[in-house]
Amino acid sequence: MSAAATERTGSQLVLDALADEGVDVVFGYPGGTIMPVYDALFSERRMRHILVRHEQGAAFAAGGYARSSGRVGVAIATSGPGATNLLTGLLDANMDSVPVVAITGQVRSQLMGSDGFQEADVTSMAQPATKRAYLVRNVDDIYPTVREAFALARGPRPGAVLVDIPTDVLKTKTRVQPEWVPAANATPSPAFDEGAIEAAAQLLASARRPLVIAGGGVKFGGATDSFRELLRLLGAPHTATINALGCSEPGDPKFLGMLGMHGTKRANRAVNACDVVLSLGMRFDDRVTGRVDKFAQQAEIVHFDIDGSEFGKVVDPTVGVRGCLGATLPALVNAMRREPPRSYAKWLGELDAFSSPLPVDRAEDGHLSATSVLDRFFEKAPRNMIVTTDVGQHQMWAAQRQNAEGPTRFVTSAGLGAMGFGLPSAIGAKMANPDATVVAIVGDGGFQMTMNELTTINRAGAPIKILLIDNQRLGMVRQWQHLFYDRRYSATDLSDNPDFVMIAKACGVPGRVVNRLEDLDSALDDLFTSEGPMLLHAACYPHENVWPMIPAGAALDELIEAEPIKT
Amino acid sequence: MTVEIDADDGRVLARVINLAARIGCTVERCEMAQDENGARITASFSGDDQQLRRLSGQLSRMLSDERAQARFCTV
Repeated sequence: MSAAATERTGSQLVLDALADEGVDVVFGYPGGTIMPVYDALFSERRMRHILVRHEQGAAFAAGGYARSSGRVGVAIATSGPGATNLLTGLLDANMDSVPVVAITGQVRSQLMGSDGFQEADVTSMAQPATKRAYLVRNVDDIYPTVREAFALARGPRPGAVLVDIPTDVLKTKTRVQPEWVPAANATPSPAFDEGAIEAAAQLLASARRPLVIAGGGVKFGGATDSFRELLRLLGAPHTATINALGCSEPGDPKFLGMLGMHGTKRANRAVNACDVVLSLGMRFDDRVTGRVDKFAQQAEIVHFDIDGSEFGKVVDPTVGVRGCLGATLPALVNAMRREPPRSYAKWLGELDAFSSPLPVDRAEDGHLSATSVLDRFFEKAPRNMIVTTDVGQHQMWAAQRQNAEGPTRFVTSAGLGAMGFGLPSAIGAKMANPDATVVAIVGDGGFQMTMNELTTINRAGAPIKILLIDNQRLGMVRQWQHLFYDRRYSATDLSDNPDFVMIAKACGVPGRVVNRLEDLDSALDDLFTSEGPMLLHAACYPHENVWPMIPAGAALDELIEAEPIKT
Repeated sequence: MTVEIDADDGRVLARVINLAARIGCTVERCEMAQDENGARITASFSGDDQQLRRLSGQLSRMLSDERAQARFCTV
């Protein structure tokens, strides 16, 4: 406890609680009702404040911080528009089970309900976007509520929590000793069922064609080492949702690639050919399952998850094991050690028949293709790199090609698919991992949603690299228009994009354009070797599509491999 | 399906009703009594099996986050 029993204001108690939670950096934007907290921050030495240029940037940065470190990210904003601007980032974190705490100012208590200036009922708005939204009405409740918010954000299943505090409560002084005792009815990590572990092990041992699917729970459950140990022991093929990329051992030949709409043919076919699926910390998102009644319909499903409400929500498991994967996976490893080893050479050979290079559209002569840029980017990237992405075609191309050596090194907005995530989340990732090379891979659409944060990068002195894949289109929407809307390209042409290098330079970030393949290597070398931040603007062919693709609502075996370029 | 909820915060009721509406369940009955100790909510829902199962799962998760106590009864 760092807080003394001397007189403290509500704002100081907010910072005491953050400090006692080990917070070293917060992302925020000041405004009227949160000014008492900013006044306390003025002389605060226990944590660094990163001033963003829009509150959404604070929420995404907090998410990037948390996703790349496993620690709780913190965002601060004022009432009304400041608070509502956080909501997209909070929902993004909540959907991907990422621990984030938001602190918002509220109009003073007497004004609440009077349509006061910058009043918004943000706790009501945040309820379905967070695990819980608190409204603190008494100064003595501030410290324990913020501490409880952190406990709740961390788990058992992590997520976003909002704490809204009226400005008069922030200014109130108290001599009450701040203390926090976890609530008696606090949700504990569930004790797992040993019988269910045994049942899972026996089902796995009986499988002739097992398939392991890793979800984000492997990463957030701190279970990557146990997961890799299980794979070594089991020798089975495995795939991953986008949130679990990097969980497998780098270069593991039994890794089939990403699963789902833009996953590999091999991974998707494996789902429909296996006899047992071991799904670990995944929630069977529709982008992963495709048509759900055709998903692994021949297979028994063993589902491990921290959240019991996931069992049967989309897919009914034969065996459900509830618990943190950090505890249940070691138990499964121990159980599997008692089973005789099996060889899946025939099954792996069958899957090899589906192995093929990633299909790509090739750009016309003289143009740079996005896929060739990303192929080369990942070949040349340093090993300690953390990649954040925005949302769209470049995200899928990057996910298909990424070679992350750890589960926190590919940071992306998965469940919510929030454009604008890439750049601010890179700021958060860099603050959490100052020694890592952090690269934001962004598209021209998403970049323009949050490129105001270039100024944040400059101000924070953060040497973040930005690879801008610019096809002058909202490429993923255009791809769907191309395939499913009779090529009626409504509102997806961005050929009037601004000069991104000039914008970056105006914000203090050097930039370079590359538009020819022969210049790509030197441009990437510039990106990786420059000391400070840099924007590499890759001006790419506009009509390239992401392949393979499973149309929405189609079964996994209805995968489209590629089609010729038609302009 | 009927659920009885003891919650610190009566605003949980709004979440319960919003969840049911989103999933397509019908709220057959809903009562809440609130005092300084918290709120007691009793709500009954109808819907098909999949809707009720989804509602039950989502309510369980939401109520554990709200740290509310819930008792489910399926008739």
